[in-house]
Amino acid sequence: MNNVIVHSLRKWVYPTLAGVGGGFVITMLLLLAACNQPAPHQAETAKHCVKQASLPVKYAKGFTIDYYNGFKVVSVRDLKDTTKVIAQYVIMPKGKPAPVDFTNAIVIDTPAQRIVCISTNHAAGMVRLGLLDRIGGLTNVGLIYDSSINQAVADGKISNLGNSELNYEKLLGLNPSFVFSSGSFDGGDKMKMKLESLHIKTVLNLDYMEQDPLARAEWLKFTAAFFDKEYEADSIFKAIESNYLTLKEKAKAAAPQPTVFCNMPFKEIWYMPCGENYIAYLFADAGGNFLWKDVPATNGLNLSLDYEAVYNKAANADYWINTGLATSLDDIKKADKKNTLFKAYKQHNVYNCDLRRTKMGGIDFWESATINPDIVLADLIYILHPEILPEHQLYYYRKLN
Amino acid sequence: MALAIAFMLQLILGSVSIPFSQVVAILSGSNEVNLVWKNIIIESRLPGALAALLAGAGLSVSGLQMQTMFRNPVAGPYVLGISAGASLGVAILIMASAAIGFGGEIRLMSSWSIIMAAAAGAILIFFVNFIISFRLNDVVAILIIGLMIGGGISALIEILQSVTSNDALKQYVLWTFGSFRYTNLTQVAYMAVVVVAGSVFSFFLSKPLNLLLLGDTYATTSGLNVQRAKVLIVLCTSILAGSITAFCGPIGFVGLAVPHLARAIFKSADHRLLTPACALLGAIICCLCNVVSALPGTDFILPVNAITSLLGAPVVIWIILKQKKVASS
Repeated sequence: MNNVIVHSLRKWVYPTLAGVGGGFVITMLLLLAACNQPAPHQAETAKHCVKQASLPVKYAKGFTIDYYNGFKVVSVRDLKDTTKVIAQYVIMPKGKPAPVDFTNAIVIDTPAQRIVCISTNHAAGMVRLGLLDRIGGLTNVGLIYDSSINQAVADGKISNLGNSELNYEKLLGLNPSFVFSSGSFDGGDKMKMKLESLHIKTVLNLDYMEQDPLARAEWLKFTAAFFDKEYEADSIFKAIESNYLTLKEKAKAAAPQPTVFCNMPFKEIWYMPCGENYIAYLFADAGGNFLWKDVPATNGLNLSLDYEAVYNKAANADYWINTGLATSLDDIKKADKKNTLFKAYKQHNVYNCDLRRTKMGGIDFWESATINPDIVLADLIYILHPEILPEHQLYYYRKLN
Repeated sequence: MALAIAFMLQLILGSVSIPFSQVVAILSGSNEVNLVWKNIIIESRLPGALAALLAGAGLSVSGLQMQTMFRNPVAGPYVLGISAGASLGVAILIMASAAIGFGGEIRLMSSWSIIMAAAAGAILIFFVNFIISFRLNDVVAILIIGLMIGGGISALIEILQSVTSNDALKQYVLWTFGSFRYTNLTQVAYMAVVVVAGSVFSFFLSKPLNLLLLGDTYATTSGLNVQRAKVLIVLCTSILAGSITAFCGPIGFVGLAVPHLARAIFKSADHRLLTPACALLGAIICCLCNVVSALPGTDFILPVNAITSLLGAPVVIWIILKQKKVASS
């Protein structure tokens, strides 16, 4: 093997090798060896880049990471049709000429030195990967829960880039490698155009589109790829996965399954997750009988239901979970007297995910639950089947009183 | 009769199908009923039905008064900026405290606090209108000032919206959709007192309204104290529109459309007939809109404000076209 390949192996393939079994290593070596042997048919494809390896992704469908000689390609894919690439990023060391095969891809110099996060859960992922020092700017800093991020903001290491409207001048001043955006979810399409006109790169981080809790957490690998931290991401994810699956197994046999409904009505409209929603998977894995589990997505993953339809179905449900802005039973009552008619309310079986909350109203659940599906699951199992995890201390959830 | 049917439809039809016999049993106070259904009828549909009835009547009557006083067919209960004032009250309550940078928490607002905030905003604008109507004799000036107040308030609300959080914004936006069923029986009782009083008061204003229709000069020579009449009309409309908006949120189009319908159907300009006619028609229309917005048979729901406009606009257009045709043939 020549030096280039050894170098690329160390730099790009190592995380992959470390992450998978020996069989894969052998295949890889054979592949690399094959690349090195000039074969007759190679002449016509010589100019094209040859994929050398891919990072194994087990649950997430929305991204792939492929390794080439000297660079890697991160593709964001359409969840409904994963052959469709929504956005593509070529990640390579600064100064190298960009590969010709990926003309539509955005080239990101690695490792990225300073980035901007729009969504707080992306910031939480960064912190988990040990990349706090690479966050240059954030939005809605008032609502951040993580104390290390808050400290960095207080120390002036992370800039506050505004709230609903991004402060573009400040952002330009940071000269970030790129901006992690959630796409249309946070008005990102308009923002992306604006950032493009300012020659600032955006990277679509669509973790929230995945509804399988483990798939959502697996996006840590996506974030990691921009900082050559795949190895770390892989081992963090493996731990999450193993915890999650162990918990799920424990809750599997639990019977009877208590009935569950969730969210707070906004006036007479009740936004209820459908059966394909992230939270519905968590309820199911925690041994709960979510009453809308069989309802497919209609227009988005939340159903906008009529209050009385919800009441009709959930009047005698056992648990009411996720009450949004309501922080006490009294809040729920004051918002609408009808809310007190639910059996779950009468029996005080109402839980909200705001145990970890700042004075300003920053709630950790919305920040870090994405990367801690195992903890969320443990909380839900404890709520629905306390006998399974008698030692567990609630982390995100609390019982309202 | 039509009103009774429309009112009953609200109790019978909804997302949850409840057999008619059960509805009757529940309303007659029988104990042999499904408790969930009983709660749906008594705690959800009944207050909503009553609120729709009251709001429809009150808004239509105040719309009629505004159209007559301003001699302007596109005037409605909200031209004086009452709904803008109520919106400002609610916007300040929900969004100002939650605006990031003000240091407040985002909270879930209780229904009473929203009602109080809306009422406070409406009362503030009412006083502004009251003073202006005392000072100015010119209805056009009052109209323009009302519109300007509305515009200025919208700007303030936009500023609040731009600095607030998504959760607070959503609470506010949903309030602006209007809603009859987000009320309980206690609230409806308060609303009933104000709306019934306001409507009766309006009926006694029929004579001055009839005279105003003929022009201020004619009204004055007929012995009417025009200034006093106008102040009373402003007072009456503000109370009606303000209280309804406080309890139900802004309900568009009804107050504008129903007076036209009433004039077309009853072929009269006499307010002694038109005032009760508007109240009746407005109540029927709001009851029907409330039924439609619940999309009976489905689990979904539409904002009632959208329904009043969607159903109201074509009806008014149809009536006007029909009348013009009659006139030209």
